[in-house]
Amino acid sequence: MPLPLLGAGLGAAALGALTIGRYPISLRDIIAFLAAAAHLSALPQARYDLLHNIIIEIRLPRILAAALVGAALSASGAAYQSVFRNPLVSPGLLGVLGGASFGAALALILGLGGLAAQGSAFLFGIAAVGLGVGVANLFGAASMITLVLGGMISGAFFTAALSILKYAADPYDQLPAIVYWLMGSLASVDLHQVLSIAPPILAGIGALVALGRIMDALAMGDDEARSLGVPVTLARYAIIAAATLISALCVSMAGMIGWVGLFVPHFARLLVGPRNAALLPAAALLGAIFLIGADGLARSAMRSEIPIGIITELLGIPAFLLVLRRARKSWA
Amino acid sequence: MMASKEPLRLAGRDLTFSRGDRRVLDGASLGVASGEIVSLLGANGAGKTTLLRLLMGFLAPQGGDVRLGGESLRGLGRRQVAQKIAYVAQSHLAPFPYRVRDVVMLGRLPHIGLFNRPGQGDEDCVDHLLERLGLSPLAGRPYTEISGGERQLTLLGRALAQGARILVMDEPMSGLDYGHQMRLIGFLRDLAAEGCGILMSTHHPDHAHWVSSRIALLIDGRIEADGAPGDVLTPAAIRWLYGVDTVAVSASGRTAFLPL
Repeated sequence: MPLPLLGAGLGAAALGALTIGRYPISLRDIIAFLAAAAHLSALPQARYDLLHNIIIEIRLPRILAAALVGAALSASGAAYQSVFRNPLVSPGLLGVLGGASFGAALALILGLGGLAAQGSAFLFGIAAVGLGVGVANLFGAASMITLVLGGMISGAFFTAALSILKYAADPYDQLPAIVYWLMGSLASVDLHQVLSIAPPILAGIGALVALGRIMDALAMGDDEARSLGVPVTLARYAIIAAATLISALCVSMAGMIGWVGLFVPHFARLLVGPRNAALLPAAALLGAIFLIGADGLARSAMRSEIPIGIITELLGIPAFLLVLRRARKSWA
Repeated sequence: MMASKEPLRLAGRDLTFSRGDRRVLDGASLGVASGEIVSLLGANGAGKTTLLRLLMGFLAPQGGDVRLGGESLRGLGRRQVAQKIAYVAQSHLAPFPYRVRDVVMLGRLPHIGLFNRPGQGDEDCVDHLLERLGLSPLAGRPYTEISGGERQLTLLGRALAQGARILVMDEPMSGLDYGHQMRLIGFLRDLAAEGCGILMSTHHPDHAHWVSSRIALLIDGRIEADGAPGDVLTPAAIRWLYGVDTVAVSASGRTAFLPL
């Protein structure tokens, strides 16, 4: 069972990431800090405050955010792939990314602050998926193919709307803000925000894991899932709702972080097989590890921070090629 | 495997169904009872798959009704139906490399419940079925990497794992080599002898004539004949169905149709 192993890997990645940054902090410092925090040993107050500030206030929120975003995007990617019976599908399929980008840009143009941009991104992400599903229902029953088409239409609409906003934006002030937002970043998250976003994300991932056996049945085809007693339309909407909720939360907090939801499920499938009850937790853990690593790179590779969305794209392409090479034979 | 020995009957009466302007089924009636093998013959596009989907409750009929054991199918829950009717589809999608054993285990879903884990009884049932179908050596293999015949047997295993008394198969022989066709036919006969009711659509008049207790002919959305193979399946019927002239040849108590 590789799940405990992945769990241990996640712990190690998080610890390692705590040591990464401008100010040098070793594992020993972290242990000393934890011991002092648990009143097992003593540190000079100034040293303790410094470590508290760097570890708890600065680095921990980012690491938690990276773990949450990676886990959520990977789990929802795996869920989408099962529901749409397509290993090349990513969580953006139904337009959540396009909608969220538009929402964030709209808030930035209206001169609203970061929190409003996040709320707006979240709402428009959900709205875009709602629009996609609505369009699908115009064509009668919301089958897989009409959902994909609805998502394309919704995504195209919000991409066009985003272009209008960019064109209309003040090129010295607003346009860069939009562009930077779209590149994705975890730089502005604080502990309070991470802790408030964690419960819904973990609940969403838990819901997807609970729906795992149903996803296995859906992967066999609609009629076959029906013959196995699955209420297909309801199940599909429930899975899409949970996956959309958590990916919209991620995008609203961290901006556009591409590729993770597409290739991490592939890696997980190579490790634990396609059964979703095992695949979803494995994908979540693997995605968390990957994004902690990518965020570590984003923070340390250059003197100034690189947007994490760029890192995931750069790392994602070779990773995906690697997976494609291994997975190709199972598609024949 | 059978949950109970009481006879069970699935029957559709006067079913109508249209897609747009096209009337696919126009008052078709067809049933199957436990212990029977019923073959449904019809040309491509005659509406066989639609009729099977109506009988399983995947589509709601626009006219007529479907009854399972005397109760209207509409009043039964999906899970209840899944414990009584199993389905082996014609074209099966396999985008992910599930193992043979995992696929068969999916058949236990109506008994386990959608949110529960399989128990020891389910594991034993799956082991037993894999053994019976000769799939034990393949149990750990991805079913995307086995032959088409083995995959069809895997899907039959999944259907049997449902413990259903009625088995609906859409062209189960299509794409199978001769050996796998014969093995599948052997399993179907055994299952019928054990009290399973089998309804299948097929394009093989010879097979149908050989294994069926009843044969039904679907022509232009209506069941034009339904009865014992010897009464229903004649060169005249084949000409009506497919527009092909044949001669019936009998040897060793079997009948085959040779095209002229």
